[in-house]
Amino acid sequence: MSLKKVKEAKSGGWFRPLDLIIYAAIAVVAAAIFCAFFFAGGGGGFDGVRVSVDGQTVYEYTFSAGGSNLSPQTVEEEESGALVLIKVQTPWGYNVVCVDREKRSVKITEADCKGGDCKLPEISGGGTVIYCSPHRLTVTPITSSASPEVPIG
Amino acid sequence: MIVLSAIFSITLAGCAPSESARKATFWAMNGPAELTVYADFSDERNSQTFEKLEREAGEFIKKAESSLDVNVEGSYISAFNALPAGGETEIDQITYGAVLAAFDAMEKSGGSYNPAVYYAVRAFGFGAQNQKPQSEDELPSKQETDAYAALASAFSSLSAADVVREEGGRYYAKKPLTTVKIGGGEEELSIKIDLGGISKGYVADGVNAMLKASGFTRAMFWFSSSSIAFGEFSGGGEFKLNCVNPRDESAVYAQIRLKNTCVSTSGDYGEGNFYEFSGQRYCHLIDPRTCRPITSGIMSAIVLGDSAALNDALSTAVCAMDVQSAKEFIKTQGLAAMFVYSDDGGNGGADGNGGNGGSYKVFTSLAEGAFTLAGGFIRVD
Repeated sequence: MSLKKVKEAKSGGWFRPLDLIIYAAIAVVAAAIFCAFFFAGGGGGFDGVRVSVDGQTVYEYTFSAGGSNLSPQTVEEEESGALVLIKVQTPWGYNVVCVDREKRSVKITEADCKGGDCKLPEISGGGTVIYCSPHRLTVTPITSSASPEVPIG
Repeated sequence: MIVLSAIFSITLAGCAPSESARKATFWAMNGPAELTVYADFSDERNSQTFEKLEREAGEFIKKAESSLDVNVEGSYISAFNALPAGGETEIDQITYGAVLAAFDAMEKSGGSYNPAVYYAVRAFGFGAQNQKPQSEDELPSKQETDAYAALASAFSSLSAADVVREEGGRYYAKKPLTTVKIGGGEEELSIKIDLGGISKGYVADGVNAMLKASGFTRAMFWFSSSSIAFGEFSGGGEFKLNCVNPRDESAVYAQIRLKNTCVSTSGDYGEGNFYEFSGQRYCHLIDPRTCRPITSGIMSAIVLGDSAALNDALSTAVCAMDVQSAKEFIKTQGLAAMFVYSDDGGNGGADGNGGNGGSYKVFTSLAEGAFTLAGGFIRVD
């Protein structure tokens, strides 16, 4: 930078109108970035499901990273187009959990249980839990950040 | 300059307390349960406290199931039910406490909650054997349900001291003397109870007490979407309770914002909880006065308060009342509650318009800003 330009800058002072606008814009951007990182929780962000049998997690699937088979002796995974079919063999029978990667939804499509106190809706957000009582199988949504939403009923 | 600001801001955000969620899952009483705690788990003390809590909660839940679940062979409730009239058996503290809670709820609800509906629950095909009638002809007769109702009525006239007692640190339950015979039959039926309408709430209360003792204030315990004990959400905020639409379980009919309270629900829906003949729904919720499934039109009730056990029983009680009585009960008892009903007895379709010409109405004592209703659900007085 030339000496002439430095002298021009010093003579102009720190608070010319355009400078003030730039300082305000920097402050707003800085605050927005801070808030985005600090308050990142509570948004939910349905990202997949966790499958448990009798309280023990046997399989996890996230749309971002795919499937993680934690119990290969009892869980089989098969892909069919946009669908991921997860067959879970429990001590009391089997269930097939179907993940639709296009619709970002999950449901139980097959089971050999005789029926019982079950909750079998489709999961497409963070608020619903599926469970099959005779097989003690639970399908719980995974959210990308802590979600305050809790299902009842 | 902007890049420097961004780096500075992100660094500042990273200096905030790193609260994360840890969960423990359990299975009991035919359903899942989940304990969630929000804390800074980079602090080893919090991790150790959580692991201890998980162990103790797990032990308590299993113990409660083995004590209270009427479908568990060898449970104290099963042993009580197997007694002849006038017989007595030793029970444990958990069972003693649960029976006391049941009597308290029965008194507060004027008998609309009554655990002495064991026979009716099974006669209509609910309970562990899960053998639903295949036709209307297989439904229990009025003679049978009148006999069951006589037993339930006798039980509701008793006090807790007539049935359970504590002596020298041990607990006992005594079967009431009332018996009935159905028609001209020889079999004499004595009173049998089923604590299914209060036991999940009772467990939630127990785990909630452990949470408070552990010092974790940002936490919740969720039991089979039926009874929940709430502390605060992460960061001290509120939870958002999504109330499942009783006629479309993939949707919600209301969202309630809350913290530091317990909630329980009862309803006439759910896989295995109802069947239909000739357009009439028969659900697992039994009106203790008739010992037949409820027909009030109330499809789902939610009660909030300090005790999940009491909420559990009172939500069942509300469903057993007619709509006007339920409204008056909530008002006179000062309950924080919500229930959804339809004018067609709850036999309508899945849409918010009630299917067969009825409409879905919601009565609530909750403050206006504490909840939101889904489209098609109308708040009424």
